[in-house]
Amino acid sequence: MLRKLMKHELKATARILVPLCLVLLFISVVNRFMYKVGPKEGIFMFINGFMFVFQIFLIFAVLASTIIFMITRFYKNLLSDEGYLMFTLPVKSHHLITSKLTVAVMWTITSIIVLLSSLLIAFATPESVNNFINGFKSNFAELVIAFDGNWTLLWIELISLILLSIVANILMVYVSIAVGQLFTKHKIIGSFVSYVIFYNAIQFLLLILLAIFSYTYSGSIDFTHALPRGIFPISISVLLVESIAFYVITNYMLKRKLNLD
Amino acid sequence: MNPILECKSLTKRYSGFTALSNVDLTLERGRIVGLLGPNGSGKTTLIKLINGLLVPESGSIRIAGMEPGVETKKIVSYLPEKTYLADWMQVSQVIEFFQDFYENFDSKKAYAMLSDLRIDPKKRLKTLSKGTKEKVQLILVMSRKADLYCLDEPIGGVDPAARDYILNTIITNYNENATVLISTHLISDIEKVLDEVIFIKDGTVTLHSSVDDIRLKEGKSVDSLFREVFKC
Amino acid sequence: MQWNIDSERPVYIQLLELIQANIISGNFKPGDKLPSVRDLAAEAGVNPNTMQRALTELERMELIYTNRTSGRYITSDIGVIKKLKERSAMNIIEEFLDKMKKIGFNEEEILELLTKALKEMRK
Repeated sequence: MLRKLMKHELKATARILVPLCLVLLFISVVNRFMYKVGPKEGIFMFINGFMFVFQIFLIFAVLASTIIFMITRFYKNLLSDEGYLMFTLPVKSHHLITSKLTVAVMWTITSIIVLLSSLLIAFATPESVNNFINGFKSNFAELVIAFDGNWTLLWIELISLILLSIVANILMVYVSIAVGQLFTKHKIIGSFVSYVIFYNAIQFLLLILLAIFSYTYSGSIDFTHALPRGIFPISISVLLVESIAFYVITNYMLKRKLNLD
Repeated sequence: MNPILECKSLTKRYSGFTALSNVDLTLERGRIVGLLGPNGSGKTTLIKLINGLLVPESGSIRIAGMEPGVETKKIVSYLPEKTYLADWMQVSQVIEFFQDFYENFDSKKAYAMLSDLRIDPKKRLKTLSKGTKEKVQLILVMSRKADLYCLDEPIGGVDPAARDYILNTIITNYNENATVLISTHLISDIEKVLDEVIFIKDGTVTLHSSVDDIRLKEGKSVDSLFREVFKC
Repeated sequence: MQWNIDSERPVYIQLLELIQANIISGNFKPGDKLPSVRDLAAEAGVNPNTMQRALTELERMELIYTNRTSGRYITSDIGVIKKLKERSAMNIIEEFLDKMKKIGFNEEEILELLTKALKEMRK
């Protein structure tokens, strides 16, 4: 059932996001030609400038669409009239959540990759790529030192951090919508307010934990000294607990407190 | 005797307002039952409870002896009053969707009914009129081989010819193992098709009797009795 | 055929009457095979259980019989149908006489009017 839900979720989201990404990549390729090979005088100055701006615009569009779509998809498909269909399917409520979560994570990662590819395709030159890689390496070197040269641990923690933060952010949106729908006449405001509360609660929690950690290790609550050996595991733990909590709460709301109009 | 629906002391409250109060109700299989009552009487609440869209405050509700959940959703086919299909999908895609999720869905039957009502499966739902969308939803619901069909106002928004077609479909779909529960205002149109009727008022069941018994005892149609009982 | 069901009287009684009327008039000929309960109900626009109830009663009255393998048939027994026809006629006549008496005619006057009406009909 979960696979079927994911398949359907992909179909529903791909019809908007795939064309958008394709257009972006296409424009990137066009821009590369124009940048490298095309004429640059006269009217082409305007056209080049326009195409450049257009590409940047599309990059923002892809990012914004992914985020907005993830939010509206959850709300529209589960808590508006379509909810009457989804919640009478013979599937468990947590499958509904998981299917949307996985596809949303997938699209987030995909859009980031497409975004980076777009920049690379249009603007990358051997020198710029080299500069970038060198800059990346030197920043990374500092991190590796902080990790006592343990590359593997660093990569594991870094990737977990990125992945978990994507998951946790998406789940924060979901739980806010799920809690917001309890307020019959004020579902959207309820969702916003819930989001603000959850967001600030987590920030607050993170701050306190980091301050405690920093104090224990260095006697000062200024935790800029405690990075990154402290920040990584603490953030990961908070994100993990946060994700599980949000998932459980969302599931409870959808299973026992569903409030379709 | 294994009833398809059993409600015992079923109660549902919404922030202070009691939508259903201690409802005791049993529906046997192989019946076509009318759920009749004014707006706000608790009809939709009862149907939502049957479909697991709401959770009762107290009391119990059992479909084929089971609590509402994944297993009951397999044997209950629900037609809500709303349009619950995604606008961007084509009719054929929706049929595929139902086929995917419901084992007991008969897509051949669905396509046959679509052609009877002259609905093009290639069309996107967005392009169909409200009445046509409702017909599509009804076709989807009736193409499932379910044990309990819950139809919420199935004939309200359609033209008289389609109305006849729908009532005809309900009759020919009949099998002695399944029950159709129809919630409606249009009683006179549907009276002859019903075995039994349930009158519901302010969250309680005030009458549960067969149509012919009512006509025999009261000497009038169910529609007339309803108007009398629920006079404003 | 037209299944005219009014809204005040029990449906199954009206179905009984309608089917009987059709047997008498010969629309349903003796020995005719009846459609399935569901099809008949769909044709009449009524609930299948109610149609079943009417059919069961007709079977009890021996106007219909069920062959276990091939379905339901109108009886081929002309005698039974004739009796039904007569009983139906008697009901109409009783109703007619009742109404006429209520208006104030006596038996002789009724017979006179009847003969006159029949003569008119023949023209």
